Amino acid sequence: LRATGERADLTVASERKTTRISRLIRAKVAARRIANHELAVVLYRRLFTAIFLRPFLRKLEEKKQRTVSHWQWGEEGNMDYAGAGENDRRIAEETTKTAGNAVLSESPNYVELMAAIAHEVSQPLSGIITNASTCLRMLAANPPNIDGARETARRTIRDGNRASDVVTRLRALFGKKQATRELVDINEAAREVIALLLSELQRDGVILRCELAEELPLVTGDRIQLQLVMLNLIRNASDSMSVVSDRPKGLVIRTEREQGDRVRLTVQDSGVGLAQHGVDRIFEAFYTTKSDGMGMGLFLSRSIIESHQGRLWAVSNSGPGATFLFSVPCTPGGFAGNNSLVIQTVDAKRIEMNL
Amino acid sequence: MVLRLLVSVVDDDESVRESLPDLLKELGYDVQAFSSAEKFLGSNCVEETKCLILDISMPGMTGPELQQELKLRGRDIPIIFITAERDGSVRPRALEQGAVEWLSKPFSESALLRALNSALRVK
Repeated sequence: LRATGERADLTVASERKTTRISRLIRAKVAARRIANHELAVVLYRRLFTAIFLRPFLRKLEEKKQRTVSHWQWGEEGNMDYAGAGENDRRIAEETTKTAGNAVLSESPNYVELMAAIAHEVSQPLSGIITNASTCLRMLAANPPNIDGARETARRTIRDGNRASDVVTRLRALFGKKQATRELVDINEAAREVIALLLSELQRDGVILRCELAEELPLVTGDRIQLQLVMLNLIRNASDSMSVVSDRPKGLVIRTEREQGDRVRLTVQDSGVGLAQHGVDRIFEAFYTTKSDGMGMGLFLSRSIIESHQGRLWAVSNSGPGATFLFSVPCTPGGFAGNNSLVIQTVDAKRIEMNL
Repeated sequence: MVLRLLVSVVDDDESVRESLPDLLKELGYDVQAFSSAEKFLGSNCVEETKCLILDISMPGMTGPELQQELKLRGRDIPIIFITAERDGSVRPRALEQGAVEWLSKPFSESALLRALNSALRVK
């Protein structure tokens, strides 16, 4: 948004309005990016599982303990009523509704996402209605404008398909597919992500050091989701160093076992670092410091880590740069096999990368 | 031949700029479409425009900012705001500032006609 002197007389009310509009713009831009991005479909779904369902279910769980005693978890993680009378069922349904609305309407992220979705759906519908109206008028003209009508009918179909695509994506979003639960070797997962990003990091002159712990316990979770988080953290780290020219662009990726049976992954960069007042905001949806960023990366990452009962946070380095860390609980008794091999492979890479 | 009134459409969404002008032409208006508020201000249509159909949230200058700017310039063009978002918080202020109508996308042809009629009657 413009911030020129002539706008200095803006009242408080209109400043609030301007903020709202800029949020809407960000939602709009995000919707447009999402509409064009395959990966975003996956992220979108996971985002919803994370922000839409989880807090909702948590509130539900709390209410449930107070009001209805007949709930149990269904096989697919859905809520089932077992032996509940009609009255209980009614209470349960109302609880569901109230709990859901309370949580959702409190969440600014929800508001922005709904704005994004509403925008995405309204846009093609708007085109359909306008084009169909034009088409009718062209046909009703004397003489009828057949070529024009044909063209507007074609546009109507195209916009119809656009709307249909949105619906398909929303279905996928609210579909029943659950996040995968499997044993994940964090070292191996990280190694794959590093391999994926290696050429990119080399191109950007990043000096990567990997310190992957031996004997790292396995964690239970969704491997792809966790890898998305790693990908995001490493990309962010690399991006934060893109403007650095007076020092080496050092990036450290570290895994270690924490006390209390947790596994921690650390991504430490030597980039521009965190703005002092912005540390909490970086995890908000649609918050970004990049000109081409959607502002969803860290927000999604935190959602994913929290859905693994973990924690994702950031700290400023004592020197330049920032460190992002996540820690997730490990699976009792699960150990990755052949860890020493993992270390050797990474060490070899490290030599290669330092060159 | 009757002189057609010029309606300008300012919306960053391409599908609106593609579909709405055709309908407006069918309705008997002369139409110019602009992808941004800045482009509209830089054009030679500001003086001639009898009604402005304006998107609320655009990158760069927003719809309400263009409304303010036109006011500052003393150009009192009737404005019909259009928006795909349902956030109603901007609406009262926009209307208070002299906007004629507020249409939520998708809007019907009759809603558009009503808005145009009241916009051009005001003038």
